Amino acid sequence: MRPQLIIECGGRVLSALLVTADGELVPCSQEIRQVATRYVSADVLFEPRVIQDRDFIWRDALETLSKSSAADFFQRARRIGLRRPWDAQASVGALQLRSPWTVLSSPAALTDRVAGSILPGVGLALLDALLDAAFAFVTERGYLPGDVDPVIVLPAQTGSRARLVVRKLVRRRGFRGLTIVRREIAAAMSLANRRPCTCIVVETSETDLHLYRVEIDGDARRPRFRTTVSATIPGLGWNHWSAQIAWALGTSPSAAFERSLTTLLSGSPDSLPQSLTHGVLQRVLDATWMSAHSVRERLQEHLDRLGGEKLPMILAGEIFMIDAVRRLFGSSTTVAPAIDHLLRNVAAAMRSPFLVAAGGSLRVNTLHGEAVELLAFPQLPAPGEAGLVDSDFRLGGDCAAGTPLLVQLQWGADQAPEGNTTLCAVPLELRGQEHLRLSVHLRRTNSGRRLNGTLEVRMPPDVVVGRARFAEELEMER
Amino acid sequence: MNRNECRHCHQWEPNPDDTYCSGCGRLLLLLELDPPRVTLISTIAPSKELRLRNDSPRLMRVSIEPRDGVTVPGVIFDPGTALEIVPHAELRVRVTVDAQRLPPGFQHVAEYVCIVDGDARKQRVLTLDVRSGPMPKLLTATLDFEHVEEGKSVERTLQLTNLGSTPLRIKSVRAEGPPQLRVDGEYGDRLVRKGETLSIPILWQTASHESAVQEAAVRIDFANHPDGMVVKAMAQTFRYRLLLEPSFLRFSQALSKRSYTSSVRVENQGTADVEITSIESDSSWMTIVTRAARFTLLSPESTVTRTTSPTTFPRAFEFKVVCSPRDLPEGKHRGAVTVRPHGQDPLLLPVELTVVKPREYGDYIGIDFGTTNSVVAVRSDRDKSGLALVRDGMSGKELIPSVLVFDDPESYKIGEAARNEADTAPDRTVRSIKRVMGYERTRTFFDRSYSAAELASLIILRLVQLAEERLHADSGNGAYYSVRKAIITVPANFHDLQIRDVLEACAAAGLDTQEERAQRAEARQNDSPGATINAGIILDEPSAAALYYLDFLRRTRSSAGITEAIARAQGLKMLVFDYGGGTLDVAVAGVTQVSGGGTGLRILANLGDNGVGGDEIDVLVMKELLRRCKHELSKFDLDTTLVAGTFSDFERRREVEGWSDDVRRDLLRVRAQWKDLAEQAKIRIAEKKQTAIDVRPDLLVRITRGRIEQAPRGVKIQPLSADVVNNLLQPVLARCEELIRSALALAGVRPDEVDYILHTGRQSLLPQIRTCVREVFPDLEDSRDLLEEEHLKVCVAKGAALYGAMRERLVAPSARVLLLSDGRRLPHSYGVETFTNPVEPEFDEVIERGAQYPIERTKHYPPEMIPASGYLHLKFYQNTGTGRSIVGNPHVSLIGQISIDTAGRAGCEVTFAIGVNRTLRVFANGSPVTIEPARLHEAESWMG
Repeated sequence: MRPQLIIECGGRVLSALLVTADGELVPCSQEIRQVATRYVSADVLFEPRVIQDRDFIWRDALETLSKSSAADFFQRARRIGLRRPWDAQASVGALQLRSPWTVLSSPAALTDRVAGSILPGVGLALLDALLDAAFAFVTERGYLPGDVDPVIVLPAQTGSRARLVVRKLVRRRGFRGLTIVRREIAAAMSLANRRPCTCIVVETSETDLHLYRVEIDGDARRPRFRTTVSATIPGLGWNHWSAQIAWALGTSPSAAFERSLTTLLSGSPDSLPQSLTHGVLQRVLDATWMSAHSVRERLQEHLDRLGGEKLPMILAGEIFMIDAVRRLFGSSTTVAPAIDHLLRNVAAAMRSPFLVAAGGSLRVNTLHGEAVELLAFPQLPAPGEAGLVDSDFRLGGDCAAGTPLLVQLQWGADQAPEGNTTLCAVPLELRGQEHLRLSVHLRRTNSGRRLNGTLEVRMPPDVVVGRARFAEELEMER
Repeated sequence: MNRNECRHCHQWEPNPDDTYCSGCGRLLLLLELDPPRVTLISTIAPSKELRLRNDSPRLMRVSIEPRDGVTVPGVIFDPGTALEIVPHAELRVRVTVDAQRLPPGFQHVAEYVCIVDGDARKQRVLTLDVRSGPMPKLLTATLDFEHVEEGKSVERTLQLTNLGSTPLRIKSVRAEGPPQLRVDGEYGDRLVRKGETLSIPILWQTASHESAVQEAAVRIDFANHPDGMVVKAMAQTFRYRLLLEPSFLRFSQALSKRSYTSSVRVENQGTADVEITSIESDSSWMTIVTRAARFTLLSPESTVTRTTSPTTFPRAFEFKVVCSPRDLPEGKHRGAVTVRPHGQDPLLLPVELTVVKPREYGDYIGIDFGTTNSVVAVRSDRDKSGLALVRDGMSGKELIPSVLVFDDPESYKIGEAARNEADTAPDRTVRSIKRVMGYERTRTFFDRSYSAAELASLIILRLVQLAEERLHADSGNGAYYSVRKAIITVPANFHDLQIRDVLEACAAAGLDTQEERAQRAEARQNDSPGATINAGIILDEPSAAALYYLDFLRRTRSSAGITEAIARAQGLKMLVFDYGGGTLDVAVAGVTQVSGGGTGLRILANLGDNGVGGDEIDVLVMKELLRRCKHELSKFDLDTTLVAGTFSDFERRREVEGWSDDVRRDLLRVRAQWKDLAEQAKIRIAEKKQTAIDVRPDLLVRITRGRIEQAPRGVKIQPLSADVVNNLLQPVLARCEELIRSALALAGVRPDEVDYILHTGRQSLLPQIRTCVREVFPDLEDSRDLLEEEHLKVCVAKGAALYGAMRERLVAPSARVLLLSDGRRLPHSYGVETFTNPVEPEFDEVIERGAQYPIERTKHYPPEMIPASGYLHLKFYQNTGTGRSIVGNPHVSLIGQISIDTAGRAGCEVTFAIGVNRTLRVFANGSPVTIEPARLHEAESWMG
């Protein structure tokens, strides 16, 4: 068995697990402020006062960062106000930046030329610095990167550009053959031994709550995982729970409070004095609080759609380490694994071949909180074949000339755009027309696992006004 | 129907050879089918018999076919569908449905026809009602109970559905195998309707732990389905047992000014690894210190097989509970520490703290805060000298190493315990802090930056606590004391900034620096010069030593002789040679009688050198040992600079070569161990007990590609010969002699006028040093060269305590030694920078070297010297030499600067005052001015 390095980047903290050649699981650890820790906050904080300096130029700063090495990234970054939560200079008022994979997956990053040219470089350097300790842990134990199989767990919504950056980073560090596992699949892997079965995975992003129906089947030797449908409940993500808890404690929601909460739930170090304890939360988040914050009603509608009322539910994410929050979602079949259990699931699954089957469909973000289906998975071209889909859309709202519009093509199984991956985006300026036509040229690779395509946006009289390419991995086999 | 009668026209005797009635001409079919409708249910009634009777007198060929041409899957006719029936005979045909070929939930009514002689008009209809029988399907392939805790049960659900089209009747559901597996509920005779899913709770209940994975099965039998079903079940049982040791923490008699630390051990005695998610306290006065945030505690079983990592610990883990009752009122306080294991109930550790407010101790203690070791003396009636020494908590010795080791951000240790740990934790260790006081040097521990004064305060705080413990032990009535008054000694030539740091450290350690009292005393001194000074907590080490020796001599030697010597006109002259770990001080003291009774002590001269302390001798020895090692290891390119280089070179190299933290830590450990090795060698030279020195290979290192490489073997170094030691010490010896002669000259005392040489500081134990000192005083009797190890190390602390006691008038007047103000002399001169040449400013002396202090000097700055802005900027310097140049002069160092707003007045009167603690204060036109203190710039040294 080849050793593996499994890294979880999906949540608020980063964690990694080294699986040795003997199958032993060794959590990657690092010492920060003289305390050994397995989980480090993925947060990158920003001191806004730095940009008040008239000499400060964002582009120069970002270019400087993109040229940094993992060792000196945060040293350089400090000069432009970027901090890790445990840096002594990370003040209470520091703002929290979005994670590199979220930024790189955003439609804006796909369309903005300036950002598009700089962000991948910065993202790569930042990811390199963030994951440096995990890579170092492997080499410190005498393993050569080329002898270790890397596996990275990423949120389902991570776009291809972010995945590309991750692949590049891992290659640059000397690892070969990266396996990327979506987070909900990693969570569902805990039930691989009970297959065939279906479960609901619940996880939180910064702003939203995501539910996935994952089916696990396959033969005795090779389990197959497939996300058949997903749903997003907007506004019920980490920020919501953090704010609710802050209010329950009689304090205001803030980035500093979120840092404290992350520290409490994960043990990730922070420079701010920590007064939050599980005991305090237990006292405050009592039955009264729970009765006032029931989410079951909001959940029910989506569970019904996912057919998940009686299915086992897996709660994945740091917020579910809080007993009261867990119980709000809970039923007798609920499983809330510890943070690193996702990694352990993946480690167990990696012992045998497995298949993550394609699920989802080609969708268009209507920009009205909905992602309409353009092409269902069975309608995709067969492996090795190509196809063309033309769809006409009628524009609503203000269609006056000059009105900007961002056409976003997505892949996923969610009716909400936030739950899908944005494949490509085309920025437009409307010319007063009320119709547009989307032409999607598709080509599926011979293996059928990859979908390449081009989106063309046409406006009457059939003029191509924008074009973007995309590629998506449909299936993953190991 | 009569077979000879037409069923349509009821004519008799139709033509038997024809199938048509001769009367009405209608079809007569002489094939009987019984029964015409058959219901087949796979698994229950999969087969039925048909009887086909040929009533005609001729052979009949019958074929059985589906009416619409679509066959029912799995339906088989035996002997077949093409039949020949002899006249007036009956043929039995068996219709069977193959359950395997029937799709799940199949239910279909099909019409077949039995066509006679291929004539479609001649047919009998056979209705086949085909249904799949009950078809159980397990939705649960295996029952994996995973980890089941001893004494608890885990439930899994076994799901069964009926894919058939008829209800499934369960006969029994039972567990097979170990008794731990149990079916929850009775399922005999239970019907499962078509498409229904039945959930059967299955429990695994363990009474005791089994090490191996246990396997069992659940068997389901059906009343209406032939095949039973078996579901494999497995579980790994484990024992969960997490213990806290101790199970209760009680701090009785906790003094409010201290912190109390207790180690708590959490031990995994179960059979499964436990993940600890947090350890937290519920009270603000209690802090938890752990070296891992979340961690795994391996069970004794997996400890054998699993390797540990920084967050994986074999079996047990220790953390600390630090209680700080500082702000708590007197009385009992209760709290709890909670250890939270993942997936298990939290463990509680009750903590009880009984807070006691100590009494204020009215007397002074004496602290000799040394570079290498510290000594603390307290007043005690148990000893005839009236003084007792505080002992190190671990070694029990009076020499308390001035070493500090941080255990964690909240706790630290000093003394012997710290020194023992220092080698293994160089990155958490502070040594020789006194050496860097006043310098621009901070150190970072646990991400907190500490100045030298802060680190010194931590050591002083512990020294005071040890003194309080001693006082408590000596009190006889169990009283607790809080010490706020102390006399702390400093080297004679300590710089102003260094003294300021000492005072800051004392204040931070909770000692009363008596600023007000000192200022009052200084004011009185101005009014009546020559009086004794009864204020200030800083005492020169030579003065303290002289005080002690004088007291000692009077108590132990010929008291009359001493008194006689003191009574002489020139008084008693003593040379105090204080060679400690960090500094070399030489003082000349004169003891005379004072008017009004008692004895007065004057320090006539006080000189020192901070650059040739005992540490420097250690480095010289170390370099020699390293040189020999390199010579021995000719094939191994030993990198001696890693060990012998200055600390700043070491850090520069680390930055350039990019060493990891681990490499740096290991190298610091090697450097520290070499220092100890050299010090031991020095001590053996002093004791004249030199033996060969074994240098382990792990101390002989070099750096290759960022990693430490050890020498292939150790080295045995033969004892250093006397000549070699003499050569090594030559620069030191020369400096000793120079200082002695300078001090004598400054005091105006000839060598032959010196009555006693008083040694203090352990370097005097080196024979070479002692010989060097004696050679300056060839006529002095050996008995007057006082070098007794018993006093050598402790005389300063005792002298300081004695000084405190005398100030508080606890000593009889006849025995009292008064430290006369006119005997306190400044070892440096003080001055400002001249304005004449801003590029090369010169030192403008305001207070001369050797002047008595407290002292005040006023300098007038006329209007023409005040800049146009109205602000007068002045920089103050301290000069240990005699040169006037400031730039590049190592003897001149900046104390600080001030900026005075002259507010349009014509000129300014600036008063420079050296107070009782030998620190500078400045007044402008009579008002105090805040000095912005500078920091000393450190010369390159080995010390980190």
